[in-house]
Amino acid sequence: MAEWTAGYLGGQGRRQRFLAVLLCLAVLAAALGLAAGPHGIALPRTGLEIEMFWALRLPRVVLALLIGSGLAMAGGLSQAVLRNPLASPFTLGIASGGAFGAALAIILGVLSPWAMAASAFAFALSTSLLVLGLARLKNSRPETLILGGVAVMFLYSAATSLLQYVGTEHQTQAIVFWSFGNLGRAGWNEIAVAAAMILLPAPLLLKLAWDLNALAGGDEAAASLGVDVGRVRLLGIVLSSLMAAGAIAFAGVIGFIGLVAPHAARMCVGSDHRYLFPASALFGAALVTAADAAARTIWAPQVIPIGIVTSFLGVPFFFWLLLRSSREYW
Amino acid sequence: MLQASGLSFAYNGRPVLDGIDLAARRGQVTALLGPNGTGKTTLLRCLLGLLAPGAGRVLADGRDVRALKPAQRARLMAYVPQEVSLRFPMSVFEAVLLGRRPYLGWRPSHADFSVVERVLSGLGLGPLAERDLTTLSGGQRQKVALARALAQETDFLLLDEPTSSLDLKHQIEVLELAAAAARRRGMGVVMALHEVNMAARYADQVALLCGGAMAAQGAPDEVLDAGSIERVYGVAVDRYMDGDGNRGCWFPLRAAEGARQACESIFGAQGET
Ligand SMILES: Nc1ncnc2c1ncn2[C@@H]1O[C@H](COP(=O)(O)OP(=O)(O)OP(=O)(O)O)[C@@H](O)[C@H]1O
Ligand SMILES: [Mg+2]
Repeated sequence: MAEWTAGYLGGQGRRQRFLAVLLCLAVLAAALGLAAGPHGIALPRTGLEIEMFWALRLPRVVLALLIGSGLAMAGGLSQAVLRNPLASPFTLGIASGGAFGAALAIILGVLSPWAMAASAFAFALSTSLLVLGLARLKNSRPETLILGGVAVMFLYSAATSLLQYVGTEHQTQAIVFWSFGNLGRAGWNEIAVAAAMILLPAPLLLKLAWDLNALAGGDEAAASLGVDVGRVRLLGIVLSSLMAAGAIAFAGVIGFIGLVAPHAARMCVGSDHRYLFPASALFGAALVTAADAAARTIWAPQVIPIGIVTSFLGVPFFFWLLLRSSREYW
Repeated sequence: MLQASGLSFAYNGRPVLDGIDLAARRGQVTALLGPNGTGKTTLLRCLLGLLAPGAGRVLADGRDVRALKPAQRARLMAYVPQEVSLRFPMSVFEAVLLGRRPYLGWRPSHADFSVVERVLSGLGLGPLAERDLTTLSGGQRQKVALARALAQETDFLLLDEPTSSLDLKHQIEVLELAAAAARRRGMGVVMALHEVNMAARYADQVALLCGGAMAAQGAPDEVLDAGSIERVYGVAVDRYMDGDGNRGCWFPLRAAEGARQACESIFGAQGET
């Protein structure tokens, strides 16, 4: 085998080792999450504590792992199909759609968690349907999709503001609270549904990996390499919306992960999506789980909303990566 | 054979190509010449099946290119676009390996790697193999794009101004390579080009486009003369021959009236300061 291939394969080996390291990191974060309680890092001892552990802490950690990996993969996918490093599941208005759905449920007085999740999910997905409809009428160029997504985002934000304006003080507070993100709302049934929406599309993402690699060089180049660009782009948007909506419906808006985890992964394993998706998922899972552990212990027994902690924890980490990275811009 | 017949194309109702007939044969280099904005790139996109023609069609070995599956098409025709934009970092090796995408499953095989190795060393890109594509110069990137297309191992190679960013040596190198691909590999090469002299020297067939229509088509000697060049480009040219009288080149003399007027309207008439 000649030297350049050897260099390439060596790089692949390095990436595989990095994935193993990330896996350890995610496991570590999960262990931390399981051990972290209102009394700091401590394992449950009394009967009540053990009961609470199974009923509350374990599902919480599982949900954090799921949500983190789902948002991260959705972000990586939307960056690839929109060919834009600033894209995230929120660029297409998914978060504001979800927030509006939840707000509507709150205003209408439907407070069952399932109904709220369903409403958030439906409206989150509706944004990508609007954007795809626009693409059908005009074209599916990334610029069209991003502009459409941002417009829809503003539309739903305004609608949510309107609901807050007309709602009672109590309702408004509930709406704001929902939008901070919360990992404590879901039980095992909800987790099973979220898992289906986040984990089932994952193999499809890997199947798209080579097409997405080709897309990095532009639509025309990709098309000449045999990629059905329009189909891949629409499929990518549908899948990333599904994953992000699944995450948002049960955990509220947890910002930043969808943008940052894929970039952190890219800095470590490069742009080959065969490695980028697993690495993003592990990064996202570790980050959300660790942030949640911090959220429960820093100010115990108060729990700081997860959406706030991910940003406080994630931004310094991201800056550190950005400064460390030898590339010019990331 | 890659054959366009009666090909017309319009962008959003604005006609660009009008009734183009063109046949690019295997083993031949076909050069598309014509002024900026005349439709060379558009014609290449139609030949590739990336754009749906408004009228007429493109046949590759008798089959309509628009009816081929994308992967089938990619095993038949490779393309080097006029400009390549890259959004995310990628190594030169990975970029060339993408040329194997039409053949790949999940993991590239030894055969894929040996094709990439051959192309990299052939184009002298070996020393850059691990470099990030976004840090290369324009000319280096253009060669990487060509390398990717060669790694695709297709029957037809469509190049859009493949020498536009290259220095003298690399221009000759790339054109020699295109000619060798045609003569030694039997590939059909179609390239849009601006250098009339290079086209005269390396092409078997020249297609002279003007205003979206085919102005002339045939062997370089038949198509290129002072009259046709001045008509199409609006520049008077003179031909210089070497001592034996068997190699000549076109030398631009002066721009036609329009260009001189443009200079005057921007910089003022001559003599004025
Ligand atoms: N995507 C597009 N949408 C609308 N019009 C376009 C588009 N691309 C090209 N055109 C127009 O079509 C005409 C032909 O463009 P084309 O790119 O094929 O020219 P060209 O011969 O390749 O020119 P150049 O030598 O400058 O590369 C031009 O007038 C151009 O303005
Ligand atoms: Mg062009």
